[in-house]
Amino acid sequence: MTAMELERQVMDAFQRLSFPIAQLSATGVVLECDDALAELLGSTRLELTGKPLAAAGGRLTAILELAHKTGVASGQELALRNKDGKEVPVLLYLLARRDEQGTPTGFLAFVRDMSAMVRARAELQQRETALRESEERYRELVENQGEGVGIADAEERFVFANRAAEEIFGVPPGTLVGRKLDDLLEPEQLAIVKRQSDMRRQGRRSSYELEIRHSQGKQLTLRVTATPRFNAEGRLVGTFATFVDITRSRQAEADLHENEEKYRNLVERANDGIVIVQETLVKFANKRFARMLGYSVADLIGTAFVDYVHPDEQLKVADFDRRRLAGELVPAVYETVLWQRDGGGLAVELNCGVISYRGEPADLRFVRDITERKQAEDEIRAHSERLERLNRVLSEERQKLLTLTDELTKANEELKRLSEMKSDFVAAASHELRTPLTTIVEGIKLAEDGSLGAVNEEQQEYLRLAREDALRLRDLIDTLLDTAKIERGKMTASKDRVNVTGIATRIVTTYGSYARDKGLTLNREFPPEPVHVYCDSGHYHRVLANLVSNAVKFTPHGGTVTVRIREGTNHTVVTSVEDTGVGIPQDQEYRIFVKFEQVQRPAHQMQGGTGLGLALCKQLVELNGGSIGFESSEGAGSTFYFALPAYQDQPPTGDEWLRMNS
Amino acid sequence: MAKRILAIDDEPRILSMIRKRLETLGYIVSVAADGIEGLRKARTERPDLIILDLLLPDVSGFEVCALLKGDAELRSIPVLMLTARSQAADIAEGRRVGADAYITKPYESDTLVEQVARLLARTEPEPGNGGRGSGSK
Repeated sequence: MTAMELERQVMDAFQRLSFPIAQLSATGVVLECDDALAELLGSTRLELTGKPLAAAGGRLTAILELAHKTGVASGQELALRNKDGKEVPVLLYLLARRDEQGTPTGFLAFVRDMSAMVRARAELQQRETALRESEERYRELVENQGEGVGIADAEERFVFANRAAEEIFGVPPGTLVGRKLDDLLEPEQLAIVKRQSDMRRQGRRSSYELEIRHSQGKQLTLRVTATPRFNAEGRLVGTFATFVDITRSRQAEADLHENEEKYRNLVERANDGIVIVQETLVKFANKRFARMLGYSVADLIGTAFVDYVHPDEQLKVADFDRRRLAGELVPAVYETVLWQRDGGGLAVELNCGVISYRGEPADLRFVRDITERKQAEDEIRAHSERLERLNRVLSEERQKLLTLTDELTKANEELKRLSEMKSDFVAAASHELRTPLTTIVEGIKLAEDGSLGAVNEEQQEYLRLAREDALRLRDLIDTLLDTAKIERGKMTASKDRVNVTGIATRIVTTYGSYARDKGLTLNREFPPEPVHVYCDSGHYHRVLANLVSNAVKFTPHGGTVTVRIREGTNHTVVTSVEDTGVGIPQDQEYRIFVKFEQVQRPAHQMQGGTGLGLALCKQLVELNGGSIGFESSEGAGSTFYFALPAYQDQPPTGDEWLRMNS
Repeated sequence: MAKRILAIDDEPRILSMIRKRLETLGYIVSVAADGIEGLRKARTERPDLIILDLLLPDVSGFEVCALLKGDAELRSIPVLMLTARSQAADIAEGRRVGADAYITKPYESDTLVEQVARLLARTEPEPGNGGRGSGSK
């Protein structure tokens, strides 16, 4: 079959199919076309002829090329443009035509109108999308609703379950499908499910409650609603079920019940009477209120409340009630008296408040028996009257005390004045007291050392005793005078360069014979060179003499007293007096430097004294910028020491003074 | 040669004690009971040392001392002040008027003797001044 013959056959075939047809040049210009094509493109044959075939996009050129190369382009989708420029979807079939030499002369084009097909396809697509969306919405609805939804097959095996159902059964997402309900339940719940399944087999919808326990131990109560599904033949093919977690509403019901119980209890067991009054009538009363009055609850219901108020109080209560109803501001809490069945009165406190009772406004009243409170109030009143009386008496007493205090203050001032006079007197007496002593001591000394003629041994002995006691008396007077001076604030230290080894040597000499008389050894340990201190020489003498005198006084026969002078730290000189005496008990140490205090000792150890010595020593040492202290153990002796600033060629600077004095 | 000492004090008892103590030690002692008499005796007797009480009935010891030290002829005689007080102000005042030393009453006879010996020893380097000694007898 020649190409021509083939072409003819094809053409015949297409013509039988009555596709619109056109003859195109090699460049796609319409050379000839039939009415069908003109109709398809909304034109006339004349209008189409001589113009390129109008197509959307550049696809036509590609199809022409394909047909040119291979001879045929079959079923190419393409959109042509009609007269108005609108796209017309078509399938284009091209047959290349050639002359005898095989040179292409053009194309034979068959056009199949695809408009209807394309419309149908679009519609289908739209429907599919709508369906998909609808499905999606439905799934979402099922998945996201609070109720669990499940579908089971005839064997009660889940074939579908939403997320909520999985949560209710406490299983991981996607794991409920394929499981049987039985697997998820406690044994005792199985019977319930079984009975319900049987009911469904008979075509009945079932609704029941199930207790389930999660593997984590959480316990839930479910409301299950199961609807049987039958196929066209009426055979049970499965169940559609919803699961609702009603644990909380169950709990709420239980709570409500409990609350009601609680309130009933409260109302019945309350210590207060409780009564509800509506339109002046008693609508409710607890037992307590009835007992207060001596009636039973039943007696009271439906009667007027005011009948139970004492006649003296009825007007007041009725007035209050009326005004409260009228919306006036009346006290919600007030006291009144109830009228008991036996005619007695009961003092009560009413606490009224409006509530809604059975849908209508009502007055809820708490009624408290205040008999005891009244009594207590009476007692308190009586008590406070007593207190007031007492207060008056106290106030009078206080006035008296104030007067007394005034007098005391005056007396105190007088005493102070007297004390000052005493100090003044003592100071004035200084000269008068010292002068005769000078004569006494010196007189005795002159006699004693033979300046007044020979003395025998016995005379010598008595003269010595007289001298020593005269000296002790002098020391005592000096101590008294110095104390008086310090008290008057008249004591000042005239500080100078003082050779303290010299003073100490004289003191050791003076007390040497006193010590010897007592059978003591009085030692001294001084540096070989004289030591100089910056202080008042008289004060130094007084302090050391006092310490040595004390040491000798409190050291028993055979003991030792040692006086030492040594350099201390921070440019000080330390003078110490160590004895092997009775020592100072620890609990008495606080008394040591206190005026008029003496260490308390057993009577046989008492040594007498004024108790002024060490107090004076402390004041004198401090006046001279030094410090004093002691170390002692009871029974093993004491060491008293005081430190004073060493004399330096350059007077101490302010800082050094501070350091020394601190 | 025995040294001569003039003691000026208004208390005869004290004077007698001082006198006895110093005489026992070999000094020649004369006494005056008030400032005027003391000044007079100082001029006439020219003692080697004057012991001067601060509290005198007529003129104070300070004044007596100032007068002694203001007199060119008597200036060299050491003055030992004797006072019942030990006030810094008094001691400073004593120094100011030229007292050579002071001791406080009630005095220790040892201290008195010590000071007397010390002050007299200071005048020793003038042994040539014999006129004073002869003038008193």
